[in-house]
Amino acid sequence: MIVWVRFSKQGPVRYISHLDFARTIERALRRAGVPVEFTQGFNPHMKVSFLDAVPLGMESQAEWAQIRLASPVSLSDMLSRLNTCLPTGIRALEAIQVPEGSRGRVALRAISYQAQVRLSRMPDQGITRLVTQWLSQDAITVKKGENLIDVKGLLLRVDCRYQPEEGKFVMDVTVAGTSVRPEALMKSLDQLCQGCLDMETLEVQKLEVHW
Amino acid sequence: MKKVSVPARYVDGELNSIRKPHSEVSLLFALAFPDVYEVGMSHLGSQILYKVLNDQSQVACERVYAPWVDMEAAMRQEKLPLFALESQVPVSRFHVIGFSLQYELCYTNVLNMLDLAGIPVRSSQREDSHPLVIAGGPCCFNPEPLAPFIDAFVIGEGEEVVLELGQTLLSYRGIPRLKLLERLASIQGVYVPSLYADKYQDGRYLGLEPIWEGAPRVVRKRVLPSLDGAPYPLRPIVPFVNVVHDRAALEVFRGCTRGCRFCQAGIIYRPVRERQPEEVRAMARELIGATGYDELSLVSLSTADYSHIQQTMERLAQELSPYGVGLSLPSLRVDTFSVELAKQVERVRKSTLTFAPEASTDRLRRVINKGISHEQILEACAAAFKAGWHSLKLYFMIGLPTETDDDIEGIAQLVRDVKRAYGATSTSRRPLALHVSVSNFVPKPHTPFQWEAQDTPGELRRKQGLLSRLLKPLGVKLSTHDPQTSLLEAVLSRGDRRLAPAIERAWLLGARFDAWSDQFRFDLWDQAFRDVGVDPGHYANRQRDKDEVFPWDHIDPRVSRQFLWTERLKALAGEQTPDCRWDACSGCGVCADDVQCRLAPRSEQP
Repeated sequence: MIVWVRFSKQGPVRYISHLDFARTIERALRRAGVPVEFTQGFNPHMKVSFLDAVPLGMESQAEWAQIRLASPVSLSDMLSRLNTCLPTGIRALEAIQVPEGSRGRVALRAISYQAQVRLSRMPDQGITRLVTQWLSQDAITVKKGENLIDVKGLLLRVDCRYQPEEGKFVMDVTVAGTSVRPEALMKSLDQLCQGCLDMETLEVQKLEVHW
Repeated sequence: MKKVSVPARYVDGELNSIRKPHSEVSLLFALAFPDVYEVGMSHLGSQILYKVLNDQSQVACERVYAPWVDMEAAMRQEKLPLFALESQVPVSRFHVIGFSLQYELCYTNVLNMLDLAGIPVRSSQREDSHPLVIAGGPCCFNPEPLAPFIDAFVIGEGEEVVLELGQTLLSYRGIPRLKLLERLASIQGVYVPSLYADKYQDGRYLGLEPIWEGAPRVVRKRVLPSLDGAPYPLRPIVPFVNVVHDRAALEVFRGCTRGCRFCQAGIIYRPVRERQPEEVRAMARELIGATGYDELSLVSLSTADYSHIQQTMERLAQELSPYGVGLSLPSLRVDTFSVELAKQVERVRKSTLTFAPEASTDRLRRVINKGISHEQILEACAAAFKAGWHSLKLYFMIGLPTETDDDIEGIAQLVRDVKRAYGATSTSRRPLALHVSVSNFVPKPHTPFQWEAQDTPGELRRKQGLLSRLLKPLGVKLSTHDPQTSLLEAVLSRGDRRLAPAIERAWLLGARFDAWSDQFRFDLWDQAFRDVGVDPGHYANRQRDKDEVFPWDHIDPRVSRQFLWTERLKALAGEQTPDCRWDACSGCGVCADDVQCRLAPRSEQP
């Protein structure tokens, strides 16, 4: 039986690396008595693999793990047992079973993030026009390593709003693949408004993975 | 937080960590480990005390580790004080800070942590409002170099005494600091250094004189009569990050009477106290259930000596392997029995086998009382090779008393013979991967070698060079230890209070994490010694007379100095002392009243 489980990673545990996160999940599976399949050989390990890895320091609502089970279990029962065994900040949110006959392989298509940042000052043209201006550029270039790349075609959905009561600018964005990070998008926007965003206060949360 | 390396070192929320609202407890205890998180979290003793203290409803015990250099820089820049992991509350607001002193090279970190906490590093500068600063662990068996910095030392096993200490603090809350220290000094096993003055004549140490009449002349180590029913962390904290010992640890016995003459642990943790095998198995189940670890380590100073080791390993392997849980042993004896045990371990995982002959020749092994012969070592290796191992690590020490260049040449000879044994017996087609690890002998207090001189760094370097030349044609990997690090360790381990200013000076000059080779700066220590007028050679490289007064004479490990001296004479004569578990009593003096060697009843000799 193959299942996919969606985990969240929030609060201080966002500072643990993906490898540490994976080990924490495996230990919780063992404590919860989930009958995970093991690899054969001298160094057997659990057949657990993750779809992708959230960057260190970012909160996530969607860390998807594929788990191969040696015997069938009830998904709701597995979730509740797992949740009693997970440390604070990590939850098992949902589980889905891969249909019989499928090999369980999936490809990641896109990731949705929510990014929040405080304004250091109101941009001259106002928020709405700034965003419109940013999106209507011929190319939205961000720095990727040493290179500048145009990511405009990778932005599948962008929804920005201003929350005046908190002085916060919020961006909901869905990007194709894993190569674009919301931090880079915010930086590009910040450049356009000549530093109207207080980038030190930027917080990003990974909301969902599309596959 | 995003800027420092391994930020997870500084946040809690690990499984099984304990958070208590501070408003609901009356004593805040910060358990401090003067090294990074990954080292401190691997220390079983700290997990034991964390449990013991937090089992008390009126106590909240939290953890704090030495911030790595990048974090320290960030903290100093942001004026962020040292805080405890669980509550993130500054350590200075706790009632007690208890340091675990596992090795001498962490001393500058102790001072640095106090300073980062905003607490004066010297006890004499602290006021009633400051936390009480205490320390425990093996280094406290010679506490003198740290005497001006620590309010009270706990000598020996902490499980009981830490609660007595806490009770005293609760009962005498609000009394002046000095009065409190006097109360603490009346607890058995607690040493309050400020109640004594150190005396010298012509630069010679003459001993301590109590300056308060209630201070005991000798402080005797605390020891649990038995491990049966002793508190044990069966729900230990499970770190997120990969720590040094990332596995469940189960202490199967405490103490060791093998009697290796260089070994301090073999003296200060006496007598041997074994756990019942049924208890071990029940504890193993609970540990794995509460942690989810994929590895269980049966720990002790020499686990192969456990009376029930074979059947315990067999039954545990049966029980745990279906869950993908492997067993491991921290160290192996050099014999075929241990190879059989290792096979048990390797049922789940295959790794390098490590043997520690310590010395290379039969003669030198008789000196250190490691009674195994050249033939026995080769037999053990052959057994391992026959069983399929192709990777072997051999541990040696150089600079041991009576050592000559013949003994250095002996290491190369042993390596040649081991390689020949591999060719004759191995079932593997791969070439032998042989790793020779060589450390430098450091004479330790409360050992038969406490009178001995350490080789100078120059001499150690010469011997390392000789060994390197001898091993080069043999195609083995050689790793050695830095002689200057070993010198510092020797100075601090047998030091008196005159070293305290040197430690403080070195810390002020920037010495930190001296046990980390990438951080160790001997030039800073060299300058510190010169600045305060201390000759390191006086402490490290000088042979002592029989009756010399030692700075640790007022600390009683319950093993007599006379026994240690006799052992020293036997060492020089190349005479062996058998293990009293299976042979005659060696007369060390530790057994008295309810403190006795306790072996779990067993059916066969090891």
